[in-house]
Amino acid sequence: MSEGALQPAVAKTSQRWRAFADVVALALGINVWVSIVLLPSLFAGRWTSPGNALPLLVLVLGLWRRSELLLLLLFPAALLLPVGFTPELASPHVYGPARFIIVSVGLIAYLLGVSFFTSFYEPPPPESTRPLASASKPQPPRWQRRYRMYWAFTILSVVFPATLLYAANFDEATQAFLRQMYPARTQQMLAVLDLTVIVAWVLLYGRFFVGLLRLHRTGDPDLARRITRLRLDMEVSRPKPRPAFYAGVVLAIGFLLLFLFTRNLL
Amino acid sequence: MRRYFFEALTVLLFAGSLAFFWECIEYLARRDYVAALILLFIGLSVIAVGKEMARLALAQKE
Repeated sequence: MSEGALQPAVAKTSQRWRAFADVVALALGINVWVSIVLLPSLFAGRWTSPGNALPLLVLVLGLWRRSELLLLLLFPAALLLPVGFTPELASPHVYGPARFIIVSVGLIAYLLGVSFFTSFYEPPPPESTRPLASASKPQPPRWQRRYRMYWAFTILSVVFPATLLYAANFDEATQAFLRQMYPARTQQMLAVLDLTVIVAWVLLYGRFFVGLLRLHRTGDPDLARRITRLRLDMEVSRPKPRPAFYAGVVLAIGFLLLFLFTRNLL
Repeated sequence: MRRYFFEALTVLLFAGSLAFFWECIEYLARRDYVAALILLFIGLSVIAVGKEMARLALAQKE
């Protein structure tokens, strides 16, 4: 096949692949929105709340821009907004253990599906192939160990948050404690507890899961060293706040507002 | 001049975070665990901002 004929075929395959990835992400996202926002809103009689449509807007915007930040961070965060305004949406009356598991599976499928489809691009078909000598050898033990650790991290990153949320929402001791300590505001406190679990899990995940994997991502050591040196030079010559500064300010203000809200001072 | 400004902000933020930690202990003593947890996160966030300010002050000094 000539090169001129190959290019349109590659472009067509890529377009078809992108369209497929967008449709899958949209279907999984709508499933999550329906199970976390729409059905509980209908159950609680709050389906006309304008905040309910916000996650859908973020989802469509994320698909339109094909932005990982919008799809993997802002869309799940936007799903919490209606729950924040109407804590009854996350109450144990709405979520039984079975429904909680179904919703969890839907959310995990969305996160894994979108992270896979947004990062996986089908390479153009090769003009010729030649088997490498190393491909016929068995996988080295160090790579087997690595893959075992990657699988363990994947499984633990599902088990940990699910267990924490289950303990917060369905454990009898926790429910009895909340009813005893906050008899008039049990639902609000449960929503705060869920939010705290999510924030704590994101911090733990960033520090102990992604942080460890980052050490494994060696890439080109020489290039990585040069980039690090350049970055350090830039920081010293023109000091400016790092993202941690802005994150700290936003978190401090957010938690302060949350504190005032839970004290009924807002 | 900017260095002293950043150093003063650093001291202020560290002292502020200690105040939040103190309040956190107060709420723990009253068995209000949710409020204590939120105050703990506020203290940690404020101390993180103070740490960044300290880094900027150090960069100005160099």
